[in-house]
Amino acid sequence: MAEIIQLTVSGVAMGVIYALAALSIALIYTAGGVVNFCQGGLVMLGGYFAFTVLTAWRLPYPLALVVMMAIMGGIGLVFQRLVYYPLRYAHRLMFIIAGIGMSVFLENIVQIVWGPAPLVVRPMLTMSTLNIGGVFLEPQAVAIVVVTGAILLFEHYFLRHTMVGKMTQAVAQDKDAASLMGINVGRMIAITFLNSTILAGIAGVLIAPVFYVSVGIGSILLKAFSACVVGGFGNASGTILGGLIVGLTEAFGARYFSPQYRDAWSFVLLIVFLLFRPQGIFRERISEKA
Amino acid sequence: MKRWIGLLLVLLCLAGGMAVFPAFAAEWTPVDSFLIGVVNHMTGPLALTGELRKRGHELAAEEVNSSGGVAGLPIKLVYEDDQGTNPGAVAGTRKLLAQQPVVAFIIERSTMVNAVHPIIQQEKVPTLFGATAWSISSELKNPWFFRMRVDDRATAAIMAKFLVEELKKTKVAALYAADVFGEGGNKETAAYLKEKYNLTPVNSQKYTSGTKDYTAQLLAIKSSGADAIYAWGTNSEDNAIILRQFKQLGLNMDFIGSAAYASAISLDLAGDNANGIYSVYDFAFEDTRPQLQAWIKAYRAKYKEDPDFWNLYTYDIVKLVADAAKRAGIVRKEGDRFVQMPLPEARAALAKALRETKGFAGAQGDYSADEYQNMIHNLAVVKIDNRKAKMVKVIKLK
Repeated sequence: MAEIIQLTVSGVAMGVIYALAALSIALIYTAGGVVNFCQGGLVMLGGYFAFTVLTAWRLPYPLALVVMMAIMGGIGLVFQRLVYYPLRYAHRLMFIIAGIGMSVFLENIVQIVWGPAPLVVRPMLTMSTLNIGGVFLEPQAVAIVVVTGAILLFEHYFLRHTMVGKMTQAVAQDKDAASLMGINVGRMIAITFLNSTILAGIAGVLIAPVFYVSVGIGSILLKAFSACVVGGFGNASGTILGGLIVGLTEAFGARYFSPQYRDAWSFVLLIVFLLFRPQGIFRERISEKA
Repeated sequence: MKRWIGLLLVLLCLAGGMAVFPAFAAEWTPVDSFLIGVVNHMTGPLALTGELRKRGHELAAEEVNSSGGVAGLPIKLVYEDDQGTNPGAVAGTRKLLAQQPVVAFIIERSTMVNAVHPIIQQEKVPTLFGATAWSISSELKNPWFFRMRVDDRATAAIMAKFLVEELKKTKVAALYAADVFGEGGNKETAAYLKEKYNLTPVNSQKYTSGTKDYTAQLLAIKSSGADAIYAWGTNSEDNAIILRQFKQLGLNMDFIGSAAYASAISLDLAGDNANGIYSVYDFAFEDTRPQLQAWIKAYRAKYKEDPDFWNLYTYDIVKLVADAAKRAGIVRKEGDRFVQMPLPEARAALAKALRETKGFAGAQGDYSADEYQNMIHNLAVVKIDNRKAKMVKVIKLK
């Protein structure tokens, strides 16, 4: 029983990270109609900036998170203007290629700036591992779940109960109609990119103490993509649930079926859902996208 | 008719040229440096170990050149990037050997050595590497391969022997990376345990390198009743996460890992989580061997940090190549210029000299080629204490 709880804890901790990264992908998809294949690179960049603000500048965690959000938000706006905006009327494939290219660029630029060595980032909570009835809880895993939960609640509130959030939703549903309603579509898309990049950066901050900061962190993109498909592309609640499902499937699949193919489980889920339920658990809230 | 006569004349000229060219090609050619080709991880996820390896090469090249090079000719290292992947290694090797008249060639990682094996057989260039998979010797049997670290079969024997005879463990679990190195190392360790002690690992877990969570594997080992783990993995991030989770999940057992577990990178990342583990490592800082201490001192002076095994054997590779090239007489001075043997002959002569190496005093130990063209035959067992590798024993295999 303790083992099952341990695996559940491990799966949930990874799952919420996937959910966070998946939500950042879904936001851009719903607003711009494109999948940003640079999202993994942005998570990685978040990890590297986390090293700078937490280890090099030695800022306390709350202030570091605020600084991180400002930095990543700025990067998101630049990314939107430099990469998305020029390609907004081009074929979707162009943006995908640009995103992949940007990801490769980021992977190499971080090694030039920060060096090739993996970096250690101090955890949010410095207490030692908790042992509760034979279940070992890593404090950072607890912090990940709590912080991610808070962020996801905030996103839910932002998207559903604030005017700006509703405007971004309107743009996501129908750009033309939103424009006719007087909504500045370009500005809303920029805000969406800002929001998405901040989420990616926070994901990087949270996982940096667990995984160490290196270019490998960016591989989370594929798991996050699986989470989007499983949960339902374009549905925020779905991506969260999708992330948890992917995390738990990995944890239990690795333990009871094949530890070597742990990373493959997310793709098995992806294939199963694409074959039998391509719309995901929660289909998109709009019935048709232009 | 005229067209056919013209064509025949062209063909005759070509044939004549081909007959003459070998004669020119057989001449010793003027050179301004002794070229050693290196395919290394300069970009990609393995860039850090690539940088550390390069430091070993560069330090040795500096020392060789400052003491006269190869019969007066300076050594020059020519690099190509493998991007940390097998396709990159193959492409880099092809490009380098096609474009650069290198006399010796250096590559890394067991999986990459396997990948470039056909190219090396075709190009007939002496290739030195640190890759340790035993299958390279037992299956590939490439006469142009020269291994500069102890192979996994010998390392596995030391690991198994230490577990059973020193630590008195009999319920051993295996944890290894699912690549040529990990699979090979596990196979050899398990085989030695069975053959010598009639022991079989009580649990065996493998993982794909780059996996970020080893909870499943470690829980499986924990529930198996094992009292010790032997681990084979080269990726420092993997190793550090494994050691952290090993402690966090409360696995109260001995742990002995392959060399990368005691590397400076792994210890930096793992921090205090590495304390108490053992590793079969290439050297021990406390070893008083003069060449080793000289290398440690030189490395610290140049790079302002402690060396590790990534730069030890790469240092010895360049030194050994320079020594073998001198013994082979590949380069000579004619007047005020240097000339080198025709390339195929130079490579063959270098390979012969490497095969005949006996007692070359490198930093790691004395290098002598055995029947498998493995060049080095000593290792150390270290224990991590306060984030530093402390010598337990140095073992001479031959």
